Amino acid sequence: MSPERRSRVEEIVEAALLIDGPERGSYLHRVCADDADLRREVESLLVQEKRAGTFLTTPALEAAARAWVTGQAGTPPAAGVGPYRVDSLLGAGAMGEVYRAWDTRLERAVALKFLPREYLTDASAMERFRREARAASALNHSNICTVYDIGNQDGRPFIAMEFLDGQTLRARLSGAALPARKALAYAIQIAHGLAAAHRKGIVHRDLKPENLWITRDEVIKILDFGLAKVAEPSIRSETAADSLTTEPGTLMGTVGYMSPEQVRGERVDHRTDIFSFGVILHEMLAGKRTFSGASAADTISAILNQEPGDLADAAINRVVRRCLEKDREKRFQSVSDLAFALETPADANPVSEQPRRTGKRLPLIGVALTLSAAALVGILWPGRTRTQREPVTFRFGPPENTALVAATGVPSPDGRQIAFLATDANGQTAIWVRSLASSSARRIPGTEDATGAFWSPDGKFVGFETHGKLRKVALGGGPAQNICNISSNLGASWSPSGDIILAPYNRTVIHRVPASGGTPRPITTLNLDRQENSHRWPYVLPDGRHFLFTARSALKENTAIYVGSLDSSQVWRLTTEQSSSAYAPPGYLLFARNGTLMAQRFDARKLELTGDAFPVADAIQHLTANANAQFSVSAD
Amino acid sequence: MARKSQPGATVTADEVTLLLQAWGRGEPEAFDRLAPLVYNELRRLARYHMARERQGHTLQPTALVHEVYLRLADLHSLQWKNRVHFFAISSQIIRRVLVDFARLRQRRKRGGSQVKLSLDECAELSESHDAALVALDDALMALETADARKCRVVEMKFFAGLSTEEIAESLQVSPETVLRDWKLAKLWLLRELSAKEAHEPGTP
Repeated sequence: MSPERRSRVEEIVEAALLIDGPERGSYLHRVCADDADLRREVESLLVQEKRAGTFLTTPALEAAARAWVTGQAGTPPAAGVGPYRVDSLLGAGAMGEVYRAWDTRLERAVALKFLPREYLTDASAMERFRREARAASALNHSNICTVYDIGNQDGRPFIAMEFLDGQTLRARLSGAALPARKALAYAIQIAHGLAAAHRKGIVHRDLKPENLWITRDEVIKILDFGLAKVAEPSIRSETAADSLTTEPGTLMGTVGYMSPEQVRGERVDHRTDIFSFGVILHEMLAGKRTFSGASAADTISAILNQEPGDLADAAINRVVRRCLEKDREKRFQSVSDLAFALETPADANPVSEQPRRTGKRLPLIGVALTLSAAALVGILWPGRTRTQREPVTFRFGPPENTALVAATGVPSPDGRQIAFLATDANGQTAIWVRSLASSSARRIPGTEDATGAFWSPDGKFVGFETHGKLRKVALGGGPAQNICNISSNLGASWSPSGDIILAPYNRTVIHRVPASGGTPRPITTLNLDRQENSHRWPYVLPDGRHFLFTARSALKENTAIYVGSLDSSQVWRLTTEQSSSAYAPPGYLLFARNGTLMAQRFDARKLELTGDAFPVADAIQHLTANANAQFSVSAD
Repeated sequence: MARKSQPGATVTADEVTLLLQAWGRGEPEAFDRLAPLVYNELRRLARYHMARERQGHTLQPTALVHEVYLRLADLHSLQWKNRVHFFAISSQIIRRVLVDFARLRQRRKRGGSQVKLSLDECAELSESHDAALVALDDALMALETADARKCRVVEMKFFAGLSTEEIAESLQVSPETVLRDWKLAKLWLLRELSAKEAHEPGTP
């Protein structure tokens, strides 16, 4: 843009900011005349006006200074919040942080959402928050995340809500279209949830894939009803806006899902949700953003002026088009009508002929992250002495004044102790060891900033990574010792013969290093025909000569669990699973599948799997992106 | 006086003056040496002032920058022009160090052990703050290309917390121009940030 053009734009913006209401439109109409580009540029800036009042109000230096001094930032809330025991951080975003917690009164898991303090600076904001939360808590529908309670800790408001296991629609979409049947099943559930809210007069206002949760049972839950309204600063109240202290960007909305009336800053009603719903359904089916542009200005312009791309299915396309009418009078006037249209498309088509399966459990493919259901889970596999082959799942909360690092518990080989990572009130993460027979844990000195922990076969040492070094420390005392330098910690396992089998660097293979120290040497080779890109998560088998590992490939179907050998370069493929693995006596292979811990009969001498895999424990942390499932096994 | 109760700086005012001049001449190494000095001094002074704040004082970022200045370069031995110069470049330094540390923390968080630097700062700013700072920094780089003066205004006002008058003095424009730049820069940055957000998958 030329300097002359820019200064013209700025002149108009400045003048327009001084004009309120409909006169502003006529002013713009007059000065921009038929220069549509000029008008678009001016409007794209003016649209930000509301947020600008609270944007960048606290100097970064001041915020940094506070954090330096108080050391407060990044630390979780106190371990106990009212009746809730805070377990672990689930996620953080512009709307605050979400923690997993346990309701000690009702004995159930809850999610605690702490809102940014900045949202509630005065009594009227707090009242608005209460009102919205009360309204949202009145919503009792299977497609809406239930609000249980609200409260505040040290002036920081929180919402206690239903704890959900699964992933957001955003994570589920990850840039690809969903199968039409699945997209419709989701859409119908979203519509039912919205209809229930609209019946009570509650408009969501910020419907987007980030706010739609898909549980492991494929049930859609709409999150954060009414929160968007709380987050809006009181418009035109300059003093209130000025007193809001906001980190940059916390009030950013997601432009792409807003309705035309929303981007124009007009009053919104339930039909705004219908528009956003249309954008989401369109995106699920098309696999890309419905309205997007190189800049926010372009996105806004697309929302205001562009028609969405046509979808393959004509009947569905008509429904989506009607949701996406620029003029809300032309949209569906209620979500119930919309749901009806989706459930009974006017003409026969391949999509509508499929049986609807909303109520049925659909297998979920490609779980990105299943959150651990317990703060920490260690699987203790009863050994030979018992006839019963049921594993024992051991769950416990963090030591006092610490927060657990999610799902890092590792039982010792004799099953009597468990090592785990926890972060104390000063933000210091270290390895803690706790005997299963006692309720107290002790912090192991010298393990600061550790990632991952593994036991020596005799249970006397714990190995770990910290600051690019693999180290070991004797539990009986003494300084931690270096084993070798590593750049990643993609699994390590200590063999009875005194070697550590490890995956020390990203995108390479399994290595071996003496536990007494040395340089890691590669012991496996990538199979390039199978497009393998790394070997990771080694686990030494009882004979001490063979080990399990996961070969990750660019092709999902080639990502599999293998057995490798310390004595030769031979490998044996066991099963195609995107998971780390472990061996459990008397003869099971353990791995994770979609967040469920599975076991399958495995003869460690013949290196053969037999029978079918069966589920052992639910809801373990499983990161398919790097094929790491967090579980561990103890022999006795 | 406050200065007496604080431990002495490890670098002399003369050295800082020389570094400032070198950086002013466009020697990038000078920045690399200045940045940690300024950063450490800011941290130390922030702690000092915040401790007093708990006893009823209020932290003034401007005062902090002034005091860093006093600590690092002796005001009286410098020309007036250097003082103005110092505000401008200290704002850039503050932006650089805050954003660099935010980026580092983010990398560390993602890459596990790949960043080998030991930083006690890592736990000190929240993740959302880091992400916001990094996004803002990217947007500022775009703004700098479009309109460098607006970028300087944001640096001085937001990163360093300088007053409108100080910014006006430093940029040799009227205070009204600073306010106008600030208002328009915020609109511009918000548009840029929301566009960026619209293109990136959000966090769950």
